[in-house]
Amino acid sequence: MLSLQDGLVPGEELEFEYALHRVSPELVDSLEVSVMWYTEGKGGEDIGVHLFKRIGREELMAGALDQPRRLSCELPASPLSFEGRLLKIRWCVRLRLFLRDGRELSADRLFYLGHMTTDL
Amino acid sequence: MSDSTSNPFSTRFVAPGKLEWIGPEGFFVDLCARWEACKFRGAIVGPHGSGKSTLLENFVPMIASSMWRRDAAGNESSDQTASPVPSSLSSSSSLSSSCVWLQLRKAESRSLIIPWRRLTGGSLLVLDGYEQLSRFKRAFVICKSWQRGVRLLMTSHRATALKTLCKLSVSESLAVEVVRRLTMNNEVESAIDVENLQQRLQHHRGNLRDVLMDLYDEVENRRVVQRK
Repeated sequence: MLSLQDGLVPGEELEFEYALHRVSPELVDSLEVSVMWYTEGKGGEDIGVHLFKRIGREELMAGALDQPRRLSCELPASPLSFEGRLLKIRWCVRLRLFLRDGRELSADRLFYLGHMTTDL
Repeated sequence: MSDSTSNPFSTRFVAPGKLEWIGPEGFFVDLCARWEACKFRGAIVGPHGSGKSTLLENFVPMIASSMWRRDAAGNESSDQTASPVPSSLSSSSSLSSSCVWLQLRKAESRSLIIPWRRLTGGSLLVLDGYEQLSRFKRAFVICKSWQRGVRLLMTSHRATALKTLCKLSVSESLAVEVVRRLTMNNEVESAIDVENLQQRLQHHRGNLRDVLMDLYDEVENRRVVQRK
């Protein structure tokens, strides 16, 4: 992930750039880009996907893989990021690269939605 | 694996299926051979937190040609895109089968509904938590699956009417290895000392799940102290 604002507020436009480095073009099958939140803690997990975009091989190969690509979306009002002891809510941009040999590479870039709140 | 800000012992990283199975070389080959020898009807036995569900999560996808699951919360899912059986596991093509996988809850001891219409001869029924069933229901499941030629793979805390394929327990070295893998990318948590881990394992009577939950709390406590 090349760039991303760290702290964002609900309703704000999230803009980010990504690029693929050190990946052989022959191996690439498709890429999924998500803006999502997930919970982390001692209990069950929950996730919510706010933006999802699947980019097929043809579209990926239309430009150089290491060329930055830009995406943006308006962020929702909730859930806000939270850092509790038993539960955390985390927002991230997630890239999942699917290779033709069946392997999958994944990268997350966390950001805060709202002002970070923690347990006291 | 976790990033440096995550708690490496959160469910996200330690739930069955998130941890890779750690066992001796050739473990799955031996397991397959034992299962095949008892006509594909056997049980994985071990106490709470000994890795039964983790073993299922690692083993069943290798042998299922398609899968229908119902988890403990009652959520159903299906996967028709399971991979072929690895050739290293068995040369026998008969190992692969369609699978129905049920995670049992205590509340289901009498009321469990098994989707028998999904189970034809040669398909596989996986029951995670067989001890949750009433005695009558256990006998019913064993008889009916036998009549229909359905394969059985189950987990239980105690020996069952089926042959025991393996008995699981958590050794100190296994616990150390699991913690090492989970904390690989974390600076704070890499300081967890092994002696302490041994005491925790004894305290929880070999229940690794509870030990990991303890460590979750310890990480959170450390972070609170650091923030102060």
